[in-house]
Amino acid sequence: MNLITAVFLGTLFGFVLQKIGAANPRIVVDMLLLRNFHLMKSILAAIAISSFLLYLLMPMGAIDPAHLKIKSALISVMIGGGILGIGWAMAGYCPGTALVASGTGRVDALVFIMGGLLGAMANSVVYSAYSNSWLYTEIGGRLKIVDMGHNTESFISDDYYRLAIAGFISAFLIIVAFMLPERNTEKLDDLS
Amino acid sequence: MKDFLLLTQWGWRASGVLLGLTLVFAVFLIKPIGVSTQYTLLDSVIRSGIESWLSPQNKDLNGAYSDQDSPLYDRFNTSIKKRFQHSSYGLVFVASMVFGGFVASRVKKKNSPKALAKVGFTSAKKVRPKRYLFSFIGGFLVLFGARLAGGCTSGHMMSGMMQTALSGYLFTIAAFATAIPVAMLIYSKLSKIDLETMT
Repeated sequence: MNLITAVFLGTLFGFVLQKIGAANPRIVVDMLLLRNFHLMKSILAAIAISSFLLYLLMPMGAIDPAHLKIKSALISVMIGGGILGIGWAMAGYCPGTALVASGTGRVDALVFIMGGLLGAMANSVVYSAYSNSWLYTEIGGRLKIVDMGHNTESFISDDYYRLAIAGFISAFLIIVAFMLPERNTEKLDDLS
Repeated sequence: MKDFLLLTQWGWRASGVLLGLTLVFAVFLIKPIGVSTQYTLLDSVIRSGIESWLSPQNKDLNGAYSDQDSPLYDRFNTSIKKRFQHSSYGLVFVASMVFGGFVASRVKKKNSPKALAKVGFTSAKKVRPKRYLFSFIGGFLVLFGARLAGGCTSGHMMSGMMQTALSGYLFTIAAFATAIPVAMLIYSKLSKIDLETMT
């Protein structure tokens, strides 16, 4: 049953990533060069919509809170994120979008995946060296801005409050998405 | 509906709605979407494959996983069999993502020159050595960083920020903080032709 879910969700996610342009490294790099904000607008909207739905459906009991997975905020998250950013700019791919792009027949995506497998392996090799180091210092732990209300009985009081804050964050992200220009034509002219 | 699916690229509003629904749907069905862990799992599958090929008498999958001396498998030492059962979901998930990309790239209008020129899906073959080099080094850094961070764009940025997790915001800030200057550094010096090789 889980594997059928995996096939369904994986295909859906891959299809959507391709159709929104996330698997096209040119669109990613144009976003990082602050020339084309299509992808940033899309992702901001996606996070806003999914977040709001999550906080709406959870107290109603439609989503099992046990399905959530909050990752710890550690120093390694920021350093790892920074290293990832360098590679992201160089290749224009991230782990998921490279897989999607390889499905479209892009050879550079396959090369990225090979580099990625090596990078993940290199990380496993040095993992024992850093796993007990300062890199794993907590900065806030599993903190989240809006705590999940697991208790459906408290829907009236607390959950409306949580939904309001989550909704506020979502609204903020949506407003940013609308305000960003689709294209920064001034900068695009440099190249075209 | 059919026309919408045939578009080469969706507008940002439709993109946001469908990606958002996908993210929630994943939590509804099983758990938040995350990709980078699967690279580590794929490494271990490849390695166990090579090992069983080198020494066929040791074909027992559990045996291949229980090499406790190897630092590579530090993360798999605890309940190895369980780990493998867990990893099958992720591996099928990422294989399906490849399939999803394949389907999406085929499901489009035959004659949409405008969209092709704009988005540039055409030139997958016209890739130059520099592009391969950047892709390989980029892939290495992305996955090394993602495993250090404990997640990537999907796990930390999308799924994390969806749950308003502090870790998701920190990751996103850090990733853009290096990606934007590095992109400006690299691509400002490249010619138009170099950028063309990406599209």
